Amino acid sequence: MSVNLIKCGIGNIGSVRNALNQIGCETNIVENPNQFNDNFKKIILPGVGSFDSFIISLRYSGLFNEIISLVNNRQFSILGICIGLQSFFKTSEEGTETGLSLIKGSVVKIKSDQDIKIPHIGWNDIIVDKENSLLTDIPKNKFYFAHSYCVNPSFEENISAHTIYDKKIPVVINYKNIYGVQFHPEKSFLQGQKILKNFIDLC
Amino acid sequence: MLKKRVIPILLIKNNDLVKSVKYKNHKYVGDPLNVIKIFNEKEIDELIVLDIEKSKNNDELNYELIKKFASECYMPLTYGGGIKNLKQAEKLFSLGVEKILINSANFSNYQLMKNISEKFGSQSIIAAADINKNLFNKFYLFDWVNRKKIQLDINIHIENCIKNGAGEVLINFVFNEGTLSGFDTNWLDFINCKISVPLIINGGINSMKNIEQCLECKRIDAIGVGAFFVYYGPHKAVLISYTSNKGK
Repeated sequence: MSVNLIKCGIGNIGSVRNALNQIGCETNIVENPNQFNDNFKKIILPGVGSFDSFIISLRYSGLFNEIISLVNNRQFSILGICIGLQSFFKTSEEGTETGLSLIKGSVVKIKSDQDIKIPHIGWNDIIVDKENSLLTDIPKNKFYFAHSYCVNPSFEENISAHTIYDKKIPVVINYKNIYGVQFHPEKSFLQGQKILKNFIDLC
Repeated sequence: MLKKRVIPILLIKNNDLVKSVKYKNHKYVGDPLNVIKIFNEKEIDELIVLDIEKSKNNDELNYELIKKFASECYMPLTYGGGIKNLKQAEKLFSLGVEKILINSANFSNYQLMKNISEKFGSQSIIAAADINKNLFNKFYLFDWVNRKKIQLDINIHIENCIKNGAGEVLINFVFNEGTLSGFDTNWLDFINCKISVPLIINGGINSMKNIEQCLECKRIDAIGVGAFFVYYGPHKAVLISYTSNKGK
C-alpha cells in the first residue's frame, strides 16, 4: 500500500505520514510535479495555513496544474484534509486566490446567529448524510476540528457527512474521484486512521 | 455537539519532563516520550508541551525532541517556548505540530502572532497570558521569564491578542499553578472584554469534581491540567492519569 503524499510549503505532513505508517501505508512524498508515482493513483493533500498562502505554495511548486490534470484526466483519486479540502473549491472568503476548482461551490466563513466561538476547535460528532466508502466501519464518529472557514458545495449530493456547530457544517465531501474531510483524520485516533485506510483501499 | 476539551499541559526542561509550583521549583517527573505514549492510550483530547528553558534563553528550539513528540503524538499537539520568528513557526508546523503557543513574545509586540496567523490561519495559534495576584488579591499580567509585573491591562492585552490573530486564549493563573488547591471559576470575573475565540484556563485543577465545575462554566471552552494528571496521592508520587470530558 502506498500513496502520493503532497508536501507543499506549510503542510503538516509529519503527522499524516505517521498515521499512514500506522495503517501500514507507505508514503511517496511529492514536492514537485515530477515526483508523482503512477503505480498508485492516490494523492493525499494535507494542509495547514490560510487559503491564499496554501494556493500560492501549490502554484509556486508547480503542483497546482499537475494535481488538476492527474485528477481530471488521469483518474487519480485525491483526499484533501482541512485546507486541502478547501483548496478543491474555486473561491474562499478567506482570500482572493483562485483554488483548484475541482468541485463546484465555495469556501465561506463559519456563520451563526448565536454567539459561538470561532475558530471551531476540538472534537465534534459527524453525522452521515449519505453512505460513502470513506466512512465504512469507522469505530467512532468523533473527530478533531480546527478551522474558521468551511466548504459550501453547490450540490448537496456531494456532502456525505456534516457536523453541527450551531448550524450544519459539511465535513465529508465526495464528488467522483475527489474526496475531502474538514477534520483531521491524522489526529483523530483509530477512527481517523480508518478513514485514511478506507481512502487507500478504494479501488 | 462540540465537546469541551481537557488538555494535559507538560513542561519540558533539557529533554526532561518537569513539574513546577507557581512556576518555580521544577521537579523532574520523567521521560516525556513515555508520558506521551501513556496519553495516546488514554486517547486524550489534545496535548500542550511547553519548553520552559527555551523561553529564557536565545537558543534554537529543540527540534529533534519536538519532532519525536509530534511523531509519537496521535492527538493534536501544541508547542510553546522560545518562538521568536516566523521561520521557527514554519519549521514547527512542518514537523507535525498543530498549534503553537505564544506568550512572552507578545509583550514586546503582537507582530509575530499576526504574521503567523496570516500565514497559517488563526486556528494554529494560542496566545497565553500569565496572571498573578498581589497582596490585595488584585490580578496583574505576569512576565514569568523575568518574574515581574507587566504594566499592561490584562483585558486590553487579551483583546489585542485576539485582534492580532490568536485563535485561542490560554489564561494561566500562576499563583495557583501546580498547587493542587483547586481552580475557582470566579477568578474569571475579571474578564470584561469579549473573548470571541475559545478560552482555555489553567492553574490548580485538583479533582474530577473540579474539572466538572469548570466544564459547567459557560466562559470556559477547554481546561488545562498539569499536576493533577502527573501526581498521585499526598506524597505526590508520579503517576500519569487522565479523565476525559464524559459529558458534553
